[in-house]
Amino acid sequence: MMSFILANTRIGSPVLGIILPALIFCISFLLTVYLLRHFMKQNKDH
Amino acid sequence: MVTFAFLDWLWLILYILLMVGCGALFYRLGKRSQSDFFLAGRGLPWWLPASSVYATHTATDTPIWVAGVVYKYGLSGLWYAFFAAWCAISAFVSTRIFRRSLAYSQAEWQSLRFSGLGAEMLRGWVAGWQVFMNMFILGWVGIAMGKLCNMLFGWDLWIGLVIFTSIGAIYVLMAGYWGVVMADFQQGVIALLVIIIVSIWGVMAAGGPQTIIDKLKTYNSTCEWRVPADTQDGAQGLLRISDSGTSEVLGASALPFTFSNAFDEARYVETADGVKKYVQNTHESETNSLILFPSDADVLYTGRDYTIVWKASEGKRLVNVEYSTDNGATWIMIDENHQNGQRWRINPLSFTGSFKGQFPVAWFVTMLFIALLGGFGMGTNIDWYTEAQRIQSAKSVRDASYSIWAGTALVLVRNSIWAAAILGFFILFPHLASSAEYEMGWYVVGFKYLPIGMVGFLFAGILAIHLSTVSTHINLGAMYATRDFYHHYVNPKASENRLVVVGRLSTFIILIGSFIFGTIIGEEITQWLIFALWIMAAGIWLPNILQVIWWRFNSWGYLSSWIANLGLSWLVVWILPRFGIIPELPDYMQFWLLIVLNALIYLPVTFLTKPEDMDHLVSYYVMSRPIGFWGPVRREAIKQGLL
Repeated sequence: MMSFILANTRIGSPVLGIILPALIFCISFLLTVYLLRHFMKQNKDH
Repeated sequence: MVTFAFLDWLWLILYILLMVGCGALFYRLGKRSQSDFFLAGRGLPWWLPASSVYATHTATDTPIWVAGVVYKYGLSGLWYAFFAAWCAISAFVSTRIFRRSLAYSQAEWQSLRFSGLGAEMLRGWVAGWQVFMNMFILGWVGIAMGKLCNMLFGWDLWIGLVIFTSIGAIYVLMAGYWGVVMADFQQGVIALLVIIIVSIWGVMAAGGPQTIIDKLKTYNSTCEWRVPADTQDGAQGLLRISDSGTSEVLGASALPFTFSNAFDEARYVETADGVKKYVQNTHESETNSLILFPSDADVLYTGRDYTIVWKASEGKRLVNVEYSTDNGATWIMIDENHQNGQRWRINPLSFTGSFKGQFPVAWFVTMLFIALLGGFGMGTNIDWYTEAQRIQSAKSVRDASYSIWAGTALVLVRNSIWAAAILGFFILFPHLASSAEYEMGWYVVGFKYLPIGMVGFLFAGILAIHLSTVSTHINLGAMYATRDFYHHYVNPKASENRLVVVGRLSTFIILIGSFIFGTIIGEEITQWLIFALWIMAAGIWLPNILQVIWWRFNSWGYLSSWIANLGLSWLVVWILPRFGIIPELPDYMQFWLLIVLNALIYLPVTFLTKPEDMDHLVSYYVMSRPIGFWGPVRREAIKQGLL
């Protein structure tokens, strides 16, 4: 039953498979850089 | 099974490197001291613990059980998750009290609140229980990941269990809680965006929000039924639907269907496909019968799950569904006060009666009671123990308060996003009778409908969900082992370096222990342990509140409540019903009964033993400033000039 349900029926343009993950990757990467800089600086000051 | 394209693999690998890297980068901060390794130096702004609360409580099994309750109960199923709302009260009560105490863990708090031998016993008991619980939760969550990987890739269960928890352990070993909380923030953002995207796709696949509502109005009525395994082979069955209020028979099988013990999988699957058309009202056959499935042409296999289908009767909101195996001489209830039609699924307050049906008012009131009053206590919910670490890592009492409130608010919002997707899943697959199938609904929606490239990204999002939970529990279990066992009992004079080393060693031991638990967790064991968790919450729920708000409640009263609960829960849930002394009760009635029975033990124990040492209580009161019934202690503190 589950194998039947899992047969692909994709919705949306394939280009979304590049744009959306890339966008979220960039957001996550920038957040990581911000966290690292902020807390390393804060702990250095202390 | 799912096949990954090159783009899927690329995103998956990049995201794994990003998530692990984010945690590992904080290695230099995590190694500085015990406080850094387990509490990130108690210097975090509210939004970091908040995101950690949200990320930790979003695990691989979470969309499974949320999908299960929403598919079965509609939007009213979301109330099952409402117990999380204890944080709404706790944010302004027990969170603040706990943060002011400066205890690392709930076990340490016991020795601040209570004194003497009782306090020592409680500290050891809570610490030991937490080490066990964290390993168990890790195993449970790890096996959920193993089952998902088995469904998607055909891997053996242990592969999904071991690989991904080990990936999380990399940055926990390196950076401790610094790694956990930073990675949680990043993983929380990824997970939230993935949840939103997949849920949008689920709603789109069903035709959009208005289509979902319109179709729910046209779908026929359904009821899940597991055919009893002891039904005689070849027996003839009849079904009838009657009005719950007036008992008027609305419709019954004109001709009997057949029960069989000789399971035929192909026929079972073919039957399910036909049931789908009956539910969706797209079947070709015309019939005057109210009951569409099963009909006289159908064979039902004993021990198997089916979806009974009948035409919704106008004006009848609640019906009884019954079956007979003796040509209608006697009728056996399948479900009482069952919802008619499908419109009820979009009503979160679709009650089925005061005490009957799948959503009685009594259950709802009990849930509200537990959720709202639980916030006055500590440990009234299993989640308290992870929240406690986040509370202590916040830089101030106010930050701790905001973090608990905000993280939980996000958890409840997240559930609603999932619910939209599951309603869409129901529209597409309304015939699923087995919870093992429909509880995977949210995952099915993602892997079935997302474009290429996003499938790998979805799996990365699932990994984010998984890593954020396992990293928390690895570090939390290690904290109890290090702080409450090693540092307190074995080596109170240990240096900070030594404590960090022991912390890392404990982390590794917790990890290995979780693999052992994961491999032995099977269906029966899981049900047994879920019973233990639920009943733990029930029997000691009130003592967990009393220990915060009532000065007279002492360590012996609290200890006796734990011990009594272990015995009483077995009696109420298993032994007494088995011997017919009490009936099998719904879970909310078990909760109330255990509250009362347990109180009959711990209240006398409390009053028959001495109060805690007054100087100790004054010291605790001045530091933590608890609310509630603390009059004598407060007066003594004033007398001593401390207030």
